[in-house]
Amino acid sequence: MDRAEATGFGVATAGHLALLAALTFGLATTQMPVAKSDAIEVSFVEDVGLESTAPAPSAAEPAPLLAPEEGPPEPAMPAPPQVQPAPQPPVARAPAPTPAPTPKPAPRAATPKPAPAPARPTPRAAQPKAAPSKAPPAKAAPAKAASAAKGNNARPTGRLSGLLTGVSDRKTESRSTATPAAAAGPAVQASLGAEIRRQIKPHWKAPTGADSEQLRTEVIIALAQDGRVTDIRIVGTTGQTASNRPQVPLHREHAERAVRLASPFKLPAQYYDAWKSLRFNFDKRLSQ
Amino acid sequence: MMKRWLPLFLFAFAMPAAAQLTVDVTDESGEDLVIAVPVMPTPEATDTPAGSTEALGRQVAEVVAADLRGSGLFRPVGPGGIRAVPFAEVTAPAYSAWSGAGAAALVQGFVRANGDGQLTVGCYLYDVALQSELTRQGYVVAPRDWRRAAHKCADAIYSRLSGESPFFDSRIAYIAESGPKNARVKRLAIMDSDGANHRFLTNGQSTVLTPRFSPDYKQIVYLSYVERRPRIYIYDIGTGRQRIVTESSNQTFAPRFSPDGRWILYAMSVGGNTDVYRVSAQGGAPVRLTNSPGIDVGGSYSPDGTRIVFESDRSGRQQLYVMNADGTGQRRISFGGGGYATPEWSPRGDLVAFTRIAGNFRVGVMSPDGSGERLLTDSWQDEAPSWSPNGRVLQFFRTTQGRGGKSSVWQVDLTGRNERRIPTPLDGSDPAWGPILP
Repeated sequence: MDRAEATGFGVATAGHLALLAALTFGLATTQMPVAKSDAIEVSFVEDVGLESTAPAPSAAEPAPLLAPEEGPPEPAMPAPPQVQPAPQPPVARAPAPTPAPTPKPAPRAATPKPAPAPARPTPRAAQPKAAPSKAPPAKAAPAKAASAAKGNNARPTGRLSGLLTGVSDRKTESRSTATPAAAAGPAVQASLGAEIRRQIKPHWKAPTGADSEQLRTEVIIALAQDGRVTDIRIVGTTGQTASNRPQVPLHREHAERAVRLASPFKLPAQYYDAWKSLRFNFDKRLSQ
Repeated sequence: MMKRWLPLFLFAFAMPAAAQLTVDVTDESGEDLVIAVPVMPTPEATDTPAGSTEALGRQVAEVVAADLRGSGLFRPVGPGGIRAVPFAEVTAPAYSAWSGAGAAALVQGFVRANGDGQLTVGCYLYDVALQSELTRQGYVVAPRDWRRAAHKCADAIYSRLSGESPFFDSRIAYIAESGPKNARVKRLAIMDSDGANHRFLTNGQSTVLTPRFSPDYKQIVYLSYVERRPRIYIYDIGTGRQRIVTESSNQTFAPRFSPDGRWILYAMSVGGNTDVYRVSAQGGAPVRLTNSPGIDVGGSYSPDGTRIVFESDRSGRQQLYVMNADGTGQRRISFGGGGYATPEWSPRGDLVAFTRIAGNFRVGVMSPDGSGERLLTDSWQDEAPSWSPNGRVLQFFRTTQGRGGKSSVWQVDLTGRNERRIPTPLDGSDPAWGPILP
C-alpha cells in the first residue's frame, strides 16, 4: 500500500508539474487579445450650440483677409476704453491695398466715373495722386492696428514681413467678409463660458454665515458690444432656509457687485450674439 | 405708433433668451474678507476722563478690529502697521491706496470731544473695489463708555457685511470659579461680550449656578445653594439686592426668563418627580406645565413666547421635547443615540441649541422640528450653550480632561469653524449672553 501510495503521489506530482509547465509555456506563446482602443477626445459641453458650426457653403470665394489665423483672445492686453467693433473690419482691411499696390484700388476708385471716354490718362494721373493720399494711413497702420486688432486678435508683430501673409495673388470679386463659423458652436460656447467665468470669479465673494453655501442667486445681464454691462436683473435666489434668510439680500447684492466689478467684459467681438445676454448662477462651495 | 412696434420689441427680447449662455460662478476661496481699520483721527486732541481723544481714536479702532476678528468672518488689519489717515480723509477715502494694500473693505472714523464733555464717535464703512460708502454711523457717548461706541461701530459693520443682526454691544453673565475641586468657590460675574469691564456680583459665600439676564439687563435670575438646598434668586443689578423668586421647601433649578421678561421657567422636584413650572417674575403661585413621571427640566421659551423646548428622560434617556407655552402638545424632537440636554431656543427662532451626550459632551443645534441636527464642537466636555443676541454665535463652557479639569468660556459660530476662548480672570462656566444693549 505504501509503495502504491508513493507511486500515486509521484504520478500526481509529475502530472501537476506537467500541467503547470504546459500552462506556463502555453500562456507565454499564446497571444492575448488585448483590445487596444485609441483615446477618443471628448469635450464637455453643457449646452447645445446655437447653430451649426459648419459654414454655409458659399459659391463666392472668401475675401482676402490680412490675418487669417486667429489667435486665442488676449484678455491681458488693456482694452481701449472705446473700442468700436463696427469700424474695425475696414481699418483692418485698409492696409491691404497699400502694401500691394496692385491696380485694385485704382480701378475701384475709377469705376464710378467711367463716363469720360478720354479718361485713360486721367486714372494714370489719379493713381499716383491716390497713392500718397493713402500712404499716411499705411504708416499709421501698425499703431492703429495694435489698437484695432483687439477685436480681430491679429497680433501686431512690429515687422512688415508678415504683412502679406494670407493675401492671395488671385483676384477675387467677392466682398463677403463673413467669418467662417461666426455662430458659436458648442466648443465656442464652452470656452466663452470658461472665459467669462475667469473674468468674473475674482469679484464674486459669497457672504459667510450659517447655511450660506445653500444659497444660489441667478442673474441675467445684458452687455453692450464693447463688453460693458448695460443691464442687471436678479432673477431669484434659491436654497433659502430659516437660518440663511437674512443673507439673501446680501447674496444678491454681492452678485450684482461681482458683475459691476467685472464690467467691461473682454470677449471676442465676432461672437457678440452669443454673449450679449448672459445668465449667471452665483453660489459658494465650502473649501473644506 | 408704439403699438405697431411692440411685437417687434417683444421678438427682439425673446431672441437672446432663447440663445442664452449660462455661467455658474462659485466662490470656493473660503478666504475671509480683508478689512482695513486704520486709527481713527481726531480733529483736535482733547483730554477727557478716559484719556485724550487721540489715544481713544487708536483704542476704538483696536476694539473694532478685535470684534470683527472675533466674529470669525473677517480678517481685519490694523490699526497698527497700516497707514494713518488725516481727519479730512475720513469721509473721502484714498481708495487706491487701500486697494493697493489688498483691503476689500475699509473702516474709518473719528473721535471728537464735544463741548459738553461727551464724545462723538463717527464710523464709516467703504467698499474699496466699488469705491462707495456702505454705511455710516455716529454715536454720542460719555467718555467712559467709549468701548460701547466701538462695539456699536463693529456691530454696524458686521450687520452690513454679514446681513445678520448685531451682537457685539451686549453683556455676558457667567460663573467665575476658583479654589480646589472639593471646595470650589463659584461667584456670579458679568462682563462685556469681549471680556472687558469684568465685574464680580456675588462674594462666593454661597455657590451660584446657571445665571440668565432679564431682557432689559436689570436683573439676573440664577440658582443658588443656600443651606445645601438649590433655590432660584433674582439679582437686581441696579441695587445689588437679591430676592428669592418662589418660597418652596422643594428643590428648584434651571431658571430662564421668558422673552418678555414677565415669566420665569424653572424645574421643581416634588416628591421625587421633577417637572417644568412657570412663575411670574414678580413672584406668586407657580403653574405646573409638565406632569410625566420622569425628570422634565430645562425649559426655554421660543422668541415669540408661544412654545417651550425642554429635556425629559420619559423615554429612558434624556431627549428634547417641544410643547406649547401652556404645557399642551408635548412632542419629542430628538431621536439620536446617547442623550440631549440643556436645550435653548435661539432668539432668532430658527434653531435650538443643546448639549449632546454620547461619549464626550458636544454642543449642537437642530431646528425646532428636530430636523437638521448638527454638532458644532468636538472636545472632551463642551456643555450648556447659550445664544448670542442675534442667534448666530453660541457660548458654552469647556472642561478639560483629567482630575484637575479646568473650565473656560468659549464661543463658536453656527458654521462650527470659528471657535474662540473668551478671556476671564478665573475659570469660567455656565455663560449666558444677554440681549443687545438698549
